[in-house]
Amino acid sequence: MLDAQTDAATEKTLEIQGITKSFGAVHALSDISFTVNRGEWIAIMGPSGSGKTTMINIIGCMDRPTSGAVILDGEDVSSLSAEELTVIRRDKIGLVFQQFHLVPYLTAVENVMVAQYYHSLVDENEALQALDRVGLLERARHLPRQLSGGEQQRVCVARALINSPKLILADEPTGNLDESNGKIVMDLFRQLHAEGSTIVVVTHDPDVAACAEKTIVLEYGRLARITDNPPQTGKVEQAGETAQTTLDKQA
Amino acid sequence: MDQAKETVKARALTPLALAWATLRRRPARSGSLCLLVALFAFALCAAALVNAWLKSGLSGLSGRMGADILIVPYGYEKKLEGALLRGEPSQFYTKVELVDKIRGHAFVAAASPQLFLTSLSAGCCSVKVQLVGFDPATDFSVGPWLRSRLDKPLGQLGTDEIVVGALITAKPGESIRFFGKPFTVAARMDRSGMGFDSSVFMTLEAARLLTKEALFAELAAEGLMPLGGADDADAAISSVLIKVKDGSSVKEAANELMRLYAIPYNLDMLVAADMLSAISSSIKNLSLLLFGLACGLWGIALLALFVVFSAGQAERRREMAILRLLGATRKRLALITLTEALLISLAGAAGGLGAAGLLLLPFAPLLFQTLGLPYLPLSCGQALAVGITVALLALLTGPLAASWSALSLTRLDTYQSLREGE
Repeated sequence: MLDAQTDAATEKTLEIQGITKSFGAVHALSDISFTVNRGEWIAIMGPSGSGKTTMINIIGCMDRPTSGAVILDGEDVSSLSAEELTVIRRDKIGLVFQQFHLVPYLTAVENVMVAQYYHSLVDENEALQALDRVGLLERARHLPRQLSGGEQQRVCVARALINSPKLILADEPTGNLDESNGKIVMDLFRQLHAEGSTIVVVTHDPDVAACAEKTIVLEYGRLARITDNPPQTGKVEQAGETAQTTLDKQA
Repeated sequence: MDQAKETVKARALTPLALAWATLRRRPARSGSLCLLVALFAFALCAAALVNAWLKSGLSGLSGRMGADILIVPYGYEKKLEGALLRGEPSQFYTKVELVDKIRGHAFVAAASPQLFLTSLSAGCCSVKVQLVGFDPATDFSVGPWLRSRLDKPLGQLGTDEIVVGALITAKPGESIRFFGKPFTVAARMDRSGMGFDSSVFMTLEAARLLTKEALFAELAAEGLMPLGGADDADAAISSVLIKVKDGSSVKEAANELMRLYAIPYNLDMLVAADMLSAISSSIKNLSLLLFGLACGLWGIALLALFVVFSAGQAERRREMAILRLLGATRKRLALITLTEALLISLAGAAGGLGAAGLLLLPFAPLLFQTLGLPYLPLSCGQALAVGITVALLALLTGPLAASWSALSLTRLDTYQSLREGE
């Protein structure tokens, strides 16, 4: 697994090259550059107003930078139209939100299938497998309101994974969860990372950020620093088991 | 997993399915919007049907009338109109000698008498019916119409035979008694949209025999027989139907006849064109009123749908933003909203048209009889055309009202919409 990750690290999944984002006279982001390699787990931290949301918008292909380039999976997406960005977002990015953002009138499996529907073809079996992977097969036919916060977030993760995205972008994934559910979700991320997924997590929580390999700190719209976090190799090996054990218990 | 798959099948996630799911989630909102569209569809359908029925009835009346001028005893013009339009039974008499005098005028192409009687009771009918005696030799008014259903020449209609209107429940070959005298039904007519539908036709001779043999004494006792005695029955007619020669003025002919015979014979007359024009005017007013009502309801339905879709927009921004993030194009988001509106329209149109069909079609004859307006049922093609037009307009209501909302949703700031309220 580690060898595979080392080889993959030579490929850049995301390159942020000197991006600036201005809203009139306000500079939300100024000259930010960093790279996320394939299979890498990056955390973006920063206080309120530091430009995290703007950064998510740009990485998530929901907005374009005023200047600079965003290279996602080898393609410059910084000057694409809104509809072209939609296609990129649909094909290459899996999104996980703090507020889960599930469609309230669709069941868990249907929420996963919606992502399939807009991506390519709906395959219910595959959607059920994705829910099985996050330990929610038995809750597949439940509506979001019938699920706990942790369960909703796991559906959100299953939905993010269903189209095998190049990048998983998570915005405060544990921000709305209690400690126990937060742990389950982070175990899932560890498992995904161990399997080779590229993950960018935006968070306030230092413990969540510490799970990543690098932490990018934004302050006042500028890149304050990039820190390498202590390696968690052993933890990664364990994480899959931990997550699975926790999920098995829940199931 | 296989077990989970077998238990519930996920729905297809098309814009239709997503729109349907949204509607089901808000049954009160969806139901009230459907009701509004249904009301509009009902009103429009009612207006269109009534208008078509009236026009069809008027056209039937115009075609069947045949006569340009109708002469009746003074004071009985309204009675004749009632008999013609609504089949209201009435009887009034003048002298038969008048017919020959009228025929003598150069501007008269044809003149034919009719004798009206009112039945006391008959096996066919729970109410009194109008008995109309016509002269097969000279008739140019009802004759051509009656011939269309008779399987023998009009002149061979016996004194014990009758032809019944469409609303008289008797089949050809059956026997009906009027004033105790049996008559065989020779034919039953199709709907005409006139009072003829509830009338019974017989030859003038048969009507006179009936008057003399059975009715005269009773009528005289009730003071309903204005003539002198039983012998006068042969000399009695109720009206003279006149057709003016081509090139002659109907108005001038009517004035001339009035000048010569109004006072000596105590007569009045109806000019068919004037009567039709008055009915046409009533129809126009009624149609305008109904279409005005339908337009008003359409405006209300449009406004209500517009307000509800616009007000619900804030609530739906997040849902739409989620779909947008998952890859839905702006076009697809608009399609979901428009499909939702179309489903509301579809349900409303179906409800409104269904209600119109159930409430209007069976009761239309009674309604028109009450209103005193001519009525003729529509052909399948005409009814279908009305239904399709109303359905199309009703279907258009929802998408039209939701178009602004759909357009606005496509312009939403995706991430900002998701973060709103957090």
